[in-house]
Amino acid sequence: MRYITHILIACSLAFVLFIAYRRNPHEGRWEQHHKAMSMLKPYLPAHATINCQADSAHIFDYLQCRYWLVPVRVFYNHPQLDTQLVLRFGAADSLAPGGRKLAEYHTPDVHYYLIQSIH
Amino acid sequence: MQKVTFQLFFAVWGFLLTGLLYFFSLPLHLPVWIILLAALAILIPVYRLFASKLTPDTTDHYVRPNIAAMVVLAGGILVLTRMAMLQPVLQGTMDSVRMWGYYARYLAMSEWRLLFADTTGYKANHPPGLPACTAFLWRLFHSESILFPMAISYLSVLLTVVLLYLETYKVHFTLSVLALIIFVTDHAFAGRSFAQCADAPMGLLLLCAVIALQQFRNSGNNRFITMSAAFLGCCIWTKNEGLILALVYLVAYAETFWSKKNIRCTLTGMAPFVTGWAAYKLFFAMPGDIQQQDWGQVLQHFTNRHYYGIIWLHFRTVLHNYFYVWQVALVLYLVLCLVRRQLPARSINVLLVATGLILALYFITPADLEWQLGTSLERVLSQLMPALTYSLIMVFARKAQPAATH
Repeated sequence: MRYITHILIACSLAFVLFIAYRRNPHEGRWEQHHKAMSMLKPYLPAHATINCQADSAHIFDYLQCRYWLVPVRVFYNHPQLDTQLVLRFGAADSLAPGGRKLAEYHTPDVHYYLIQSIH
Repeated sequence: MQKVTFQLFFAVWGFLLTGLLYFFSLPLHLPVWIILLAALAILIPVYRLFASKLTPDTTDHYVRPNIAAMVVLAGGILVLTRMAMLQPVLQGTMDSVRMWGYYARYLAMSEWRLLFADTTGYKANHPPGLPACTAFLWRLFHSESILFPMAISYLSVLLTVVLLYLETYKVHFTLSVLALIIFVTDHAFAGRSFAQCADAPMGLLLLCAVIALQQFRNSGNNRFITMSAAFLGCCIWTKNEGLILALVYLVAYAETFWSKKNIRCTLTGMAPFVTGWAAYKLFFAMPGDIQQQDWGQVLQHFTNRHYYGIIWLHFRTVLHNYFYVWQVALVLYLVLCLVRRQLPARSINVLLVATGLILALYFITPADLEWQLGTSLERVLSQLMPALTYSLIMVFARKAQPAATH
């Protein structure tokens, strides 16, 4: 019985990971993120702290990034931000109204939009 | 306890212990292979010590496998595999990216101390149970592949289902199969397969603690107490709310955990992870937002009716949207208790108290209340559901203790 259970678990795990790997074979999450950041970096003021808003299908959240650090640090922030630049993950139509788009970069999983804050 | 259950239990505990060793090896700059050897040196004798005492000896005679039970389990795993693959977000949720993933990434770097330096604005206050395990695998295989956190996340969900089924199908086959179907067809549950947050591991660890406690009540073998206490320790080492869950169990089952006969087993089981957690909080963790706020103002939240209204509304909505079946089963059980004029079983009461305490935490959150509830309540309650399902099956099958006064 135990061998059957172990085999079932191992097969399920191997199959799921294989499919996940096939879906995104070339670039990992970190690589995508770094590439996006490096593409957007010229549009950012030197040594600026940028605040990032994240918007995914299920989670609406607020993040703060310091893009010049490698690896990029992401950490909590309070919803009420007073920022100059907002980097947004999510679909194009979810951009905050009134925000002016400065630059954009798309990866298979995340859309990066650098917009001027509405504050 | 079946041998397969014990092996899975041990694998989970051993992995967490390896993560603990890895975390505390960081200040010593030890190579990762030394951690691996140290972990094996601890795990192999402990396995030998426990395996013979906790599982029936099946070496002398051939035990015929239960074919029907195996077919159902295989079907359940197949459905869960399929459900997991249908998830749109395989790369982890934003919560995993911003918290657990980056936490692990720092722990895998030589500059890991930056994580605890007050220069980033990030409050590294979460216990490092999950990120330490991820970082250990990254260092061991010299790769920051996302497949490792994916595997941990998926295995947490898969093992929850497998253990729940293996430990209940002999007690009540129909209820066990029903629970299996409910879990593997639940989109929210399958969604946690790739969330890469600590909620799925927490649910698994709490389930293991509850199963081990039940095994002690069935067999009287106090090594199960060591095991249950060890998993409660793992809960504390994995998430901040794990401390609340562990304390609730340790108090509710005080006569079991802290009896003269069992206290040594309890302390032995908890010692590695509780010591690790205390050292982490004392020497590494930064003060959290909750600790740093104005407590005079916070206490006023408890007298603010607005807070009760918002929390209750979110709680009701989350129960209805994500845990409807569990809600119905629980209400049914409570009504049955009322009709029979019995107190609910202690195993259920404990989880109700834990839910109440978790809801009470929202009164002291420094963040926007609606935002906090919207982003975390479902995840936190999901940690209790495997243990609740196990406890409900046990009480419905009349195998657990019948009343709180027992």
